[in-house]
Amino acid sequence: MISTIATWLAALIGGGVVVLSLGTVVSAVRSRRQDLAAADRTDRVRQALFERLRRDEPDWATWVETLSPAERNEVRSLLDRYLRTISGEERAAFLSLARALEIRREAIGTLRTGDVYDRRRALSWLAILDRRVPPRLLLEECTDHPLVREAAARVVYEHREEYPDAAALGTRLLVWDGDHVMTTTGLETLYRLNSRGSTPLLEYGETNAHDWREDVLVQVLEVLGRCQITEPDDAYGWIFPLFDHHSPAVRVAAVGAFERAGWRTSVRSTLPLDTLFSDPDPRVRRATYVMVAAWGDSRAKDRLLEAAREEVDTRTRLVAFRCLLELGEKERTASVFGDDPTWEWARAEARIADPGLTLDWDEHEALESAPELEAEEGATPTSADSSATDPNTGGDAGE
Amino acid sequence: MTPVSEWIPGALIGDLASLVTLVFLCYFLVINGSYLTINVASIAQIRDHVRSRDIEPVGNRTGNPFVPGVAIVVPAFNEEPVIADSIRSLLTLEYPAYEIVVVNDGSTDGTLDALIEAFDLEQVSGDCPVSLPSAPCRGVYRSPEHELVVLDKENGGKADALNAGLYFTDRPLFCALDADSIIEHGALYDVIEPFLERPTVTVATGGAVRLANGCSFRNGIVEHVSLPENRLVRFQAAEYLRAFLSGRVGLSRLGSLLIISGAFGVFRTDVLREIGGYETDSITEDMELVVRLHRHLIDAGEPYEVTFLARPVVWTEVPESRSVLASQRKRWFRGLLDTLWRHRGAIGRRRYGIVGLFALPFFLFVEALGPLVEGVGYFLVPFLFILGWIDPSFFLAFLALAVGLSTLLSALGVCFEVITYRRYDEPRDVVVLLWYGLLEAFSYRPWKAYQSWRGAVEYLRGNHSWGTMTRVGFDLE
Repeated sequence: MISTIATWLAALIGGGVVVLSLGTVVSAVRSRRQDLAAADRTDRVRQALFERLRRDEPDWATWVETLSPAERNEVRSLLDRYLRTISGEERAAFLSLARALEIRREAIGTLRTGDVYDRRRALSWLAILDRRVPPRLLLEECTDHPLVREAAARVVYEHREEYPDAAALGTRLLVWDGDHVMTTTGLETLYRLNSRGSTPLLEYGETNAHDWREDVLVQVLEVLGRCQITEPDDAYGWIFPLFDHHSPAVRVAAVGAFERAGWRTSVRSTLPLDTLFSDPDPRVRRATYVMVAAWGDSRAKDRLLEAAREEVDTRTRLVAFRCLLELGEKERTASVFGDDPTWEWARAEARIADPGLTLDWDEHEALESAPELEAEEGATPTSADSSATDPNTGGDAGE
Repeated sequence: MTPVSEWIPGALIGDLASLVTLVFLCYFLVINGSYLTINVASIAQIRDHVRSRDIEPVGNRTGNPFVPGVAIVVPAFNEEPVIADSIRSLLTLEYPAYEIVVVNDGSTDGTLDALIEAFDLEQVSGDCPVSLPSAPCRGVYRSPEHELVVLDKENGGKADALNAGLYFTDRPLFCALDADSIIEHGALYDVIEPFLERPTVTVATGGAVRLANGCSFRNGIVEHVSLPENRLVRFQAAEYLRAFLSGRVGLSRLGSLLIISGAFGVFRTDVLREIGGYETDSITEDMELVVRLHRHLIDAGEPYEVTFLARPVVWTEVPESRSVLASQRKRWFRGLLDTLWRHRGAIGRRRYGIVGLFALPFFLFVEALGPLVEGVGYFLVPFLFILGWIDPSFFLAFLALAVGLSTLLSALGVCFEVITYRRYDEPRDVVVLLWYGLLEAFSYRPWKAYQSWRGAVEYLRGNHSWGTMTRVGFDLE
C-alpha cells in the first residue's frame, strides 16, 4: 500500500513539475517578447506624446481614444514619472492628458472600493494630479490603515494651498491615535507639513502625547527637532517633563527637539541643562552637546568645554570636541586639553576634512604673528559669536 | 523477502529493514513538509511583493532628512587587484547618507597602498581614542574628498575586521559587505527599505546573493547576466535561486530567518554593539550573529524584525572547481553545526517562540541532519535493495518521489525568478536552470551530502579553518 501511495504521489508531483516547468518556460518566453514589444511601444508612445505636447492644441481626448490598453498603461507609466518631476507649462499639459485618461475619477472610485494596495496606489496618483481630494472623503475612506493614512496625508501636503488647514489635517492623519509608527516617508511629510509657518504638531502633542506609543513619541520629537517653529514658547511646555522619562530614547529625542530653539531665551533658561549634562546615558549627553553646539553662543561654548572636561565616555567626549571645533573653539580647547589623545584625534580628523578649518596650533601661532594677517583678522569680525545661529560656520574661518 | 504491501505493524518492530525504511520515510516527509511550508510562505510573500512593487510613495527620497545614515564596512584581506575598483563602485551608490569603512585586515599585499594611492588618503595622526574590540589598529586613513575611512589593523579574520568597523562608526546602520562583491547602485536603498518602512522594529535585513560568474559588469553595474558554461556553476545557480527566492523569502515571511549573508547584510549598529558584535571564533559568523540577535531581542522582550529581501542583489563569484566548492561547503556545514551547538539551549524552547520551536529545529533536523541522513540513505537503501529487503516497486516509487520533490523545489525557485526579478531573462537560461534542477538530484545533491559528512567529521575533530577561495575574477569592462 505504501508503494502505491508513493507511486501516486510521485506521479502527481512529476506531473506538477512538468506543468510548472512548462509554465515557467512559457512565462519566460512571453515576458521576453513583452519586453521587446514594450521597449518598442514605449518609444512609439513617448514620441507621439511629445509630438502632441508641442502642438498648440494637443487634443489628448482624441489621441487617448486611439490607444490600445497596453499603450494607455504605457502613457500612465510615463505620466507617473513626469508628474513627479516636471513643473511649469509642461506639467499643465501632462495634467490635462491625465484628465483625458480619467485617472483622477478612477482613483477616487478606488478610494471607496479598493484594498490597502489599491488605495495607496490611487492616493499616489491623487497626490501628483491637480485638485485636492475632499477632506471628508479622506477621513471616511483613508483612515483604516497607517500606510493609507500616510498616503492621504501626502495628498494633503501636495495640495496644501487648497485646504484651509492642511498642516493640522495632515498631522492628524499621520499621527492619528499615536498607536502606529510612521515610515520615513510619513515622517518627511509630517516635517514638511509642520515647517511652513505653523506647527500644529506641537499642539497635537500637547493634547495627545500621553496616549502615544513610546516610539511614536520619539518620532514626533525627532520631527519637531527639525522644524523651524514660530509658536510661542509655552507651546513647548509638554516636552519638558520628558527629560525625566524612563526611556533614554525619549530623553534623546526630547533634547533634539530643542536643537533649533536656541534663540528662545525662556526655553533656554527652563531647560535643565545640569541634569542633561549629567544624564547617566551617554546618548542623552551626546544629544545635549549637539543641541548646545547648535545654539552656538559663548555660554554654550563654556558649557561644552566644561562638559568635555567632565565627560567619562570617550565616544561622547569625542562628540564634545567635535562640537567645539565646529564652533571654532580650537585655541581655547587646545589650551585646556593640550595633548589629550581624544582632543588630538578630533583635531586631526577635522584637519583632513577641512584643512582650512583647523590649522595646526603651531601654524596658527605663526599666522597670528604675521602682520598682514593680523590686519586681515582685524577687519574680519571674530566669527565665534557670529556663528551662533549656524554651527556649521566654523569660528576659525577668520584665520 | 517480505513485500512492503504485506507489512503489518507487529512485524515491523522486529524487522530491522522495515524499521529503517519507516524512519527514512518519516524523516523524508518531515523534510519535504518543511520545505513545502516554506515555499507556501514564499508564494504569499512574492504575491505581496508583486502587488506592492508598483506603489512608489510620493515624497522626496533623496532629500528625506529622516533616512538613516549607513556605514558600509568592507573587510579586506589581500584584495589589492580589486579593492580600488570595488570602492569606486561603492562611492557611486544611490543613497543620501553613507560612509565607507574599509578594514584592511593585515593584508600582506599592497591593499592599503592601493587605497591610499587611489583615493589620496591621509593618515589621521594619533591613536584612535575609541576602543575597538579587535586585533590592534595600526592606523586610520581618511579621504579628504569622500566619506571614506580605511582602518589598517593587524590580521584577525573577517569577524574581527567587521567588529573594528562596527565599533568605529557613528552611523546608526551598519552594512557588512564583502570586498570582492559588487552591489547594484540602488541595492543599498532597497535593502534598507524595511528600516524606512518599519523604522522602530527592523533590526536586520539581508539581500540576495547572485552569481557573478558568466556576467559582465561596467562601472560597477551589471551589464549582462547569463549562465556560464561551467556545470558546477550552473548547479549552484539553480541552488542559489532555490535557497534565496524560495528558502529565505519563505523563512523571512515566517519570522524564522536565521542567516543574513555576510556578503550583504544591514544591521542596527546599536543592537549589534549590545550583543558584542561578531563572534570571532565562529566559523560562520554571519549565521551565529543572527541567531544571537534573535535570542538577545527575545530575551529582552523587544519587538523586532529580521527581514530578507530578494530584490537587492550582491553579485559574487562562486567556486568553479570541485575542490574549492568542497572546501566552502564543508566550512558552511561545520559552521552550521557550530552555531547549532552554541545555541542548543534555545532549540525547542517555547520561550523563543517561532525561532525556538520552528527555525532552530528546522535548521537542526532539516539543514544539518538532512544531508547526513540523505548521505546514509544513498548507501543504505541500494544496499537493502540488493539484499532484497526492500520491495523493488517501493524503492522505485520512493526514488521517483524524492527526485520529483527535489526537482519541484528547484523548479519553484526558477519560477519565482521568472515571475519576479528576471535577472536570468533569456528563455534558454531558464530551460538550463530547470534542467540542472532535475540533474541535481542525481549528481550534485549526493556530492553535497558527501561533503556534509566530511564537514561533520572535520567539526568533530575540531577543525575551525576557513580554507581558501580561488577566484577567477569579474568580467569588468
